[in-house]
Amino acid sequence: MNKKIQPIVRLIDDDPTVLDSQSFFLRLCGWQTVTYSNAKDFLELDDLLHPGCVVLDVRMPGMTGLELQDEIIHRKIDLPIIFLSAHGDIEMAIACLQKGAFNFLEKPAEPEKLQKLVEEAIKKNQIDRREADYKNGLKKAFGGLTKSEKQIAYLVAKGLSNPEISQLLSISERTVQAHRSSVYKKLNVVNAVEVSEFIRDMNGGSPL
Amino acid sequence: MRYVQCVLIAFFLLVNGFLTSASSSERDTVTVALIDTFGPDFYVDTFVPTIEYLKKKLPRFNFKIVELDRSRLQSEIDRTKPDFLVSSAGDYVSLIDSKGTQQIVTKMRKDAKEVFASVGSAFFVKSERKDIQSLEDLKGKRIAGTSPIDFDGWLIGMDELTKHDLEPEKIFNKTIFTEYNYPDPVTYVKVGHADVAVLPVCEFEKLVNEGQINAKDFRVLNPKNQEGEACRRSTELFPDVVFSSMPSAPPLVVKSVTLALLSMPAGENFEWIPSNSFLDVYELLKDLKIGPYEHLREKTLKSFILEHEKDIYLAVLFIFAVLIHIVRVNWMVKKRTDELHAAVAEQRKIEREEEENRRKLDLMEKNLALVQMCSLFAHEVKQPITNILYYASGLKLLLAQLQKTSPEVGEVIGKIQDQAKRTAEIVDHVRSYAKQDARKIQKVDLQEIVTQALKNIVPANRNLVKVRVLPGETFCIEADPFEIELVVLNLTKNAISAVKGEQDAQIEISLSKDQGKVIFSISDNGPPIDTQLLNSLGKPGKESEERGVRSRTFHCNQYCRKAWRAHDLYPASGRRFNRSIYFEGNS
Repeated sequence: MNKKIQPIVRLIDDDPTVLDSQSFFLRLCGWQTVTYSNAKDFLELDDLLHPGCVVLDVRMPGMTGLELQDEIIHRKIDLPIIFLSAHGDIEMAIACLQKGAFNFLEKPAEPEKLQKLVEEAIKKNQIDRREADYKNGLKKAFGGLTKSEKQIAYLVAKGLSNPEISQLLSISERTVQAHRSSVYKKLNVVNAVEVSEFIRDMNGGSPL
Repeated sequence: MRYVQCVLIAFFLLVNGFLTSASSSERDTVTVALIDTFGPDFYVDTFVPTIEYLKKKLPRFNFKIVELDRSRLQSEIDRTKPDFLVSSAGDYVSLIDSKGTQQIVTKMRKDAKEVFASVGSAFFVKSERKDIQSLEDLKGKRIAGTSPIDFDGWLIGMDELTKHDLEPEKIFNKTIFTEYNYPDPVTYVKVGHADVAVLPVCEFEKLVNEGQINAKDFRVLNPKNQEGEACRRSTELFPDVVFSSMPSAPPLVVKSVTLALLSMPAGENFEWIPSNSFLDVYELLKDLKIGPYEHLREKTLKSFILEHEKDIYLAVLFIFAVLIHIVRVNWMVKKRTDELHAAVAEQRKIEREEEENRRKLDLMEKNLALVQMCSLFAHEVKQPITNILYYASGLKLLLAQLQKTSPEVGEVIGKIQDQAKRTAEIVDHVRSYAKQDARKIQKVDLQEIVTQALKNIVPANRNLVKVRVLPGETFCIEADPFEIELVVLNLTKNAISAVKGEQDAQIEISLSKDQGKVIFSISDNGPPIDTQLLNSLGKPGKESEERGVRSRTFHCNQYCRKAWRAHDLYPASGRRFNRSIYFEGNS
């Protein structure tokens, strides 16, 4: 658990008694919780950049839990969603999970199971955000390259030698050598293999 | 006069017999028979000159003259076996069937226009008799005539009476026949012994010319004279004397006599010419019920039938037509009644089916309400159960954090959690029962369901519905067939209700496929539906009677939305109002 930034569990349910009991239980489990009685308040008031997860009731007045999920996807909010429903059926659960929900629990959910899923969801969110931060750092570093350096970086990542790149780009081998050195320095790598891994990580697993 | 006539005939026969016996051994005998119904002038003016001419013209034949007793005519003919017969037109026609007489020539008087219109009768009364103006006035009067067998002197006159619906044998108080003796019939009238006299045509004028009577003293009844006619008459004209051949006459003899008579020069008063019509004579005999129509006088069923043959035929035809009409009417009434019974039976069947459907619908609605109530109950109960579980788990954690836990407390909290879970399980169990009873999902053909649903619509309304389906396509879906049938039935009824009273009312149901989905659509050209009402459909408490949107529609929508992922109702372009339900296809 990250001690610097305490993740928040957002509880969204139209029944205040459920919010109280859930919040009571999860706080005793050590999580920081915030409760919302409807989806609109959540979207307007919550600090969505703060890590954590969302425990969401399906049936609510106004915007339903399913509609809120669509809105979260639409806004590219990365908070994992754990659905809770008293009317859940298999069809609905599959639809939610296919859209990217973290899990789907039928009320009354086992408190321990909820606790475990909350923990997993927060962990996932933290990992996702770290990965995202890492990718953003890589992209920022790669963005510092000139146009020619980016071109040569891609060719180096493909394993091409300096003469091959020189011939391919119709520039002198010395120029290629100078750009390669600059790329290594700016991306903080030492060889072609690390350049290739850099680009792969930056692209989320895709090497090029 | 009759006496003179007899003397003349006797003399003629005597002379003729003498001459015949003198040369009979050398010549073939030709027998000419005479039926005596004529006046004395006939012998002098017609008969004797004709026979004399034949003898002169045909010397190779020995002409034998015989007179037949009219009272025993049939036996007289059989006895004498004549080759030729001279008779009145009435006697000639009477003997055609029984004795086979065949006309050769007929006497045509000089003043006659046609050979078949030569003789007739005339009724005379005294001019001063104002009480006798027409033939109808002769009832109860006294009449005088020449002879009851005289064709033109009596029979034609009596026929005229029958034409005026008078019965000759009953109309007169007294009948006097002169038999051509003196006084003549006119004299009887003149002296007051008779009220009316009937004479052959031209007989009256002859008496006037002879100075026996004064024409001014008498008046003719029922005058029928045409312009240019010299003699007064009261009747139509008929053929005069007929010279006919008998079946026994040798053809060559008939030929010779015929040629001779036709070549006989026209005399001062007459000539022989073939007559081509005796129909009026037949009618006369029939009217008077004499000759071949004698049987009509018999009062038997046969005679009655023969007399009224035409009327009977018409009556039978009429009765037959009436019977046919009655049979036809009865048949049509039976047919219509059967059709009515069938229609009533069909109507009752539809009503029973509708009643059954209503009953099923009510049951389904109750089940739906039960499911909804169970769902509501489950939802509401599960919230506090969830809270109990959270609070129990939280309490357990809290006690652990405060280091105040004990085995007893842990056991109590565990039991609280177990009971809460058990309560939740019971709720789910009960709810699952309601869910199972509500629907029976199976693979069904939507087209068959639509056909079945439309059978529940009365025929008059069913004709408004046009079903449009691509031929050869099947529209299989997974659903409860009865629920779908009810949905189709209710949507169709709503559409019928919507177009009621519209001119050119049209409802169209179509089945189609699109990307694996089976689409049921129904549209009508009823009045448009406003957006507010459209949006209110399917919401409890917002039901409307407008456009026939009743409570059924609410349930339809509920089913469509929940069970079959139906799209909401939406209005199509133009005046048509379209509703579509999208089903997951199952081919």
